Amino acid sequence: MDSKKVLTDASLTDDLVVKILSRVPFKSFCRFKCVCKAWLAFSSDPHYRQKLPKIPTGLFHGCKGGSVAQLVSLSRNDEEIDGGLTFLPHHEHLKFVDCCNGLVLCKYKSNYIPRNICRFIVCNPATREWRTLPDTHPDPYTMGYTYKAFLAFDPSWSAQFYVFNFQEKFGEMPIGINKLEVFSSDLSTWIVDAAWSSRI
Amino acid sequence: MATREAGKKMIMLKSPDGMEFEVEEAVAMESQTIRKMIEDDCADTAILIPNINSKILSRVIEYCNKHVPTTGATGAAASDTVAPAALAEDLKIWDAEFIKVNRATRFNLIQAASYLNIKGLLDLTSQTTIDTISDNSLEEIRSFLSTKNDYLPEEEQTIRRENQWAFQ
Repeated sequence: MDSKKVLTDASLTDDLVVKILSRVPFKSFCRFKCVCKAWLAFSSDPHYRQKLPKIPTGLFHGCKGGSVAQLVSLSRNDEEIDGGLTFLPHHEHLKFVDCCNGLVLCKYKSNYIPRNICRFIVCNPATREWRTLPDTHPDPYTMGYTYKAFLAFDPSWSAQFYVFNFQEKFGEMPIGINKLEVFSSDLSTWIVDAAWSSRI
Repeated sequence: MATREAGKKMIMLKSPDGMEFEVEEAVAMESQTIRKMIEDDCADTAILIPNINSKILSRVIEYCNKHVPTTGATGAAASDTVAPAALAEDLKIWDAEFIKVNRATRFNLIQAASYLNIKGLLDLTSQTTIDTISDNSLEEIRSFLSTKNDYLPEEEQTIRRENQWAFQ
């Protein structure tokens, strides 16, 4: 750029547009991404994406008794978010499992649904959208096994989310994982990898 | 460089179209860019502001004049008699009037505030721009910011669908 040039044209450089966009709430920014390709590209640009609004910052954690979860808010953007997840059906029977970049994974407690069924629900507390995942059927010989589930989601790369459900041999050190179920939101189904015998 | 205690030190700012503006050093130092030049002793004579025309530079100086902390001789009377809260309120009203400019001037002020690194002015100009576009349609935003819609119709449909929640 010619630094001697007197700026008279009424347009802003990308740098300045990013400076301006960095001040808008996350939701507005998502709408603005539809303005043009350059604005969409800002959110994946390694230099610019640090400055741009991200998902409201806060921590979700499970609660004992009372509500399913609680949101420890770290920004003003979170004020309208229902951290107790009371918008979910039968939320009083849910157990908080995991959260990732704004989505929350919960599981129905075993005293609410049959023992041989494992039912997860993933929700977005900011938009109050939720999705019940297809039931999975834990191994009938569940004695000696325990399940650990994790949620994976990064909206800056993909709108899809994934749930990983690991079956572990209880009490074995190092932890033995002998089955992995993966749910992907675009396929809407669980993929089971029963041949997992390696140790992590 | 002259000693600072000799009253108010003045700094000469020059715009590329040949205009010269004599301002108090404290006013000029509202700009972090100029402050650095002064502190690095690079401001012996006049400072040329390379890419800001005289019209915009005079507005920037007007802003800095108003926002410079009023601890000097000129501001003593005001700060002694007016409560800080009232002063802040007065500044807010002044800012609101100051930023009532056309779109081209506002963009030039954003460019100047960014180049000269004047946080308050950048905050004011950016926030006003956000307030303008926040409730606008995408088409209005594009026209306001001179941005072209380069999405193909199907691409726009996809990106809108992915971000549909943000339109509600």
